[in-house]
Order: sequence, then C-alpha cells, then structure tokens
Amino acid sequence: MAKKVKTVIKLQIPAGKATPAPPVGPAVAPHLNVMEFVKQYNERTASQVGTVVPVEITVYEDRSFNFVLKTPPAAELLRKAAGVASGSATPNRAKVGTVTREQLRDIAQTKLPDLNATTLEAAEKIIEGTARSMGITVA
Amino acid sequence: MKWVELSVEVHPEAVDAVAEVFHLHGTGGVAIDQPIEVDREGELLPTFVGHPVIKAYLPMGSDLAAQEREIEEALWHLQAFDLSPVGALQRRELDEEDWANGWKEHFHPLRVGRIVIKPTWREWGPKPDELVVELDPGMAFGTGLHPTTQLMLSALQARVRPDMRILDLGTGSGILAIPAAMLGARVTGLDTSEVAVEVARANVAANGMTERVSVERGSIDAVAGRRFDLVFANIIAGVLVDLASQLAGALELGAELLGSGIIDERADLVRDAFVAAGLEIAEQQREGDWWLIVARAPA
Repeated sequence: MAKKVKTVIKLQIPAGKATPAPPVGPAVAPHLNVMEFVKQYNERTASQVGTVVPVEITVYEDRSFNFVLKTPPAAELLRKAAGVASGSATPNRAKVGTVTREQLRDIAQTKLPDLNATTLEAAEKIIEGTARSMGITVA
Repeated sequence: MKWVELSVEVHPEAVDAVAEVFHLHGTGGVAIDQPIEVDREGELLPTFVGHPVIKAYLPMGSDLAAQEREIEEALWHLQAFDLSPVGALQRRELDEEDWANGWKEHFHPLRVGRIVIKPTWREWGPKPDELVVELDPGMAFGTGLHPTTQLMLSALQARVRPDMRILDLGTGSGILAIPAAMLGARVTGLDTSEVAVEVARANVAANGMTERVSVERGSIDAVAGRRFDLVFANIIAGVLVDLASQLAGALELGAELLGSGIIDERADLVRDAFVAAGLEIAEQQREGDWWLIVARAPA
C-alpha cells in the first residue's frame, strides 16, 4: 500500500546553496530535520548553481520524505529570454526588455506541467501576465 | 537570530510574479503554502484547492522598514496586470528558536549494530554491550536518520580498533567521531561549518570523550602531513572527488577511507577519483539512492 501523505512543502530557493536559514528552516523544520533535506537538495542541484530551482517535498505520515525538483520559475526563464538581469521595479511605467511570442510559447511549454493550466494557450496567458508584471513586453 | 516573515495570499496564476517580487528584494527564496487534498488512502489528489500563500523572510536589521515598504509597493504595482495578491501583506516576527526545535519530536533513538544514537531528550534503557551516544544535533548534519550516516555507523564498528588514529572529515554533529572514540580510537574531527564545530564539541563533552576526540574548524588542509589509520568522509560526491588525492595522502599504508554521502548518479565519479588517487576500491554498499565506498591505500 502506498504511504500516507502528511504534507507537501514547496520552496523556490537558490540551487546548491540551501541553508537551514529561512525560508527553508521555518517551512521544513516542523516536519523534518532541516539538514537532512538541505544536504540532499544541494547535492542534487549542485550543477545548477546560479539559478533558482523550485522543489516540492512530500512528507509521509511515517516522517520519511522525498522531493522532486521543478522547472525554474517563469520569471527566471523570462529574464534569460529577454537577456535582462532583473525585472522592473515599476513595471507599468519602465519596461526592461522584450521576449518574442515564440520565446513565450517555449517558456509556457516548459512550465506547463507545474502550472494550474491544462492547455498551452492557458499557460501562455499566465506566463504573459508574469512577463508584463516584470516590465517585459511580449512582441 | 530574529526574522520577519512576510506572507501574502495569491491566485495560483500570480505565484511566480509575486515570488519574483520577493526574489528581487533579496529574501533569498520563498516558501509556498499550497493547501493539499488527500483521499481516504492518504494519496495526494492532483488538485489545486484554495489560494496559495507565499512566505518570504528578511533578517531583522536597520533597513528592514524600507525593504518592507518597497515590497509592498512592488506588490501594489501587480494590480495593473491583474496579478495583485488576494489579501494584504501579513507580517510576523519570529525567532530561530521557533522552528529550530520543531523536528525534535520526530527524532527517536536509533540502533545500528552495537551503536545506539540517543537524542538527549529521549529515554533509553541500555542493554549490555551497547554503546549509547548521547546526541543533540542542533542545526548540524548527523542525526542518524540519513542513509549515509547509517551506512557509516555500520561500517565503522566493523573496523575501529583501540588506539587507531582516525580522521573524521565533515564531522557534523560528531555522530561518527563519538562512537569511534567509544570503541577506543583517537579521533580528529574537522568541519568547515562553525555551527557544526560548536555542536560536535558539545556532543563530545556530553559523552565524556574530550580526551579522545578533538574537533577543529577546517578542511583536510588542517591535517596536512599527518597520516591516519582510518579516515571517515561522509560529505558529498563533489567534495570527495575534489579532495580525493589529499584524502589518499592522509592514509597510512594499507589504511582505509570510508567515503559516503554519495548519491547514486555520481558514484562512478567518486570511484574513478579514488582510483586515480592511487586507492583500491575495497568494498561498496548501497542504501536507497546512497552509496558508501571503501577505498584502501596500497600496503
């Protein structure tokens, strides 16, 4: 019989550099020993240092856990596609970059499994909203 | 250390946009509380229920108020894109103590062969021949819950002999150094983490092993020129590969290196590095995704 799920913890943290400090500690410590998770996360994401690698940890009733690494946040993929270091602080006024419709579709395709969307069109709409909120225009 | 937790409820579509606002303002990552649903068997249902809550943390400091104001402003800007949070930005202060001890209630005594790892806050009626290690890992690695630590505990008791000189690189909580000392060895524990050094020293003292275990901050360079009868290195694959030749250089003729913390997909790299450093692979054990590799120096 499958193990009973107790909770699911979602984090967006820098690859290879997790520490017991927040946000990891307060989210993980009530359920698991933080260092057991930190060590495994850093080991699995060591090759992706410099990016944010979201993780979803499933904690079971018997206190065992496993985790899956997710695709990078849409904002990170958008920044890379637009070739900008960071989003705009005032996105409704100052635009920082542009992505093409095709780049947007690629990102939507990448993110589709992790989004609350069933079709590529719906995923594209979500990603486009995120792009605009960062001051990135879709051309 | 004190922190401020900023949290905000959002629509699922707004998760990445709001998380980005926190990333931009230097919170070092976010946690996302997504309510879950499980069926009667305890299996997770693949549905989204309710609104996720995004939580980010800032250390208490002088420019905190300004940072909070900037975050609030940036969240406000999101309304122009229909991504504004569902609720207001919530704020609460919390202390490291508030979460640091939460996991302790799930940490129970663990027996591996003769060695019993006993959390200091648990009771244990020892049986004859058992070595009971009193342990409070604090924020350091090494509770015995991780498969690599269990592999090491099992391997070390088959090898440690009285008066052996042992190096424990990456000593963590001292979970390996202390039982080795109880078996009669003299152990040098090293760790690059200051937290680990403090925790390990406290555990060594609590077990009355200060005569047999010394713990210092540092890596393998700290024992350059010294040779040991047995070396423990329960770290991670990347570090074992980088330090392979120095680890080999710390072994007496015919002595063994117990390398662990090695995840399956990188085990070959570690084996190759050990062999390239002139060692012979003497034994290998696997537990789940994790390997222990025993490498021996030429006699």
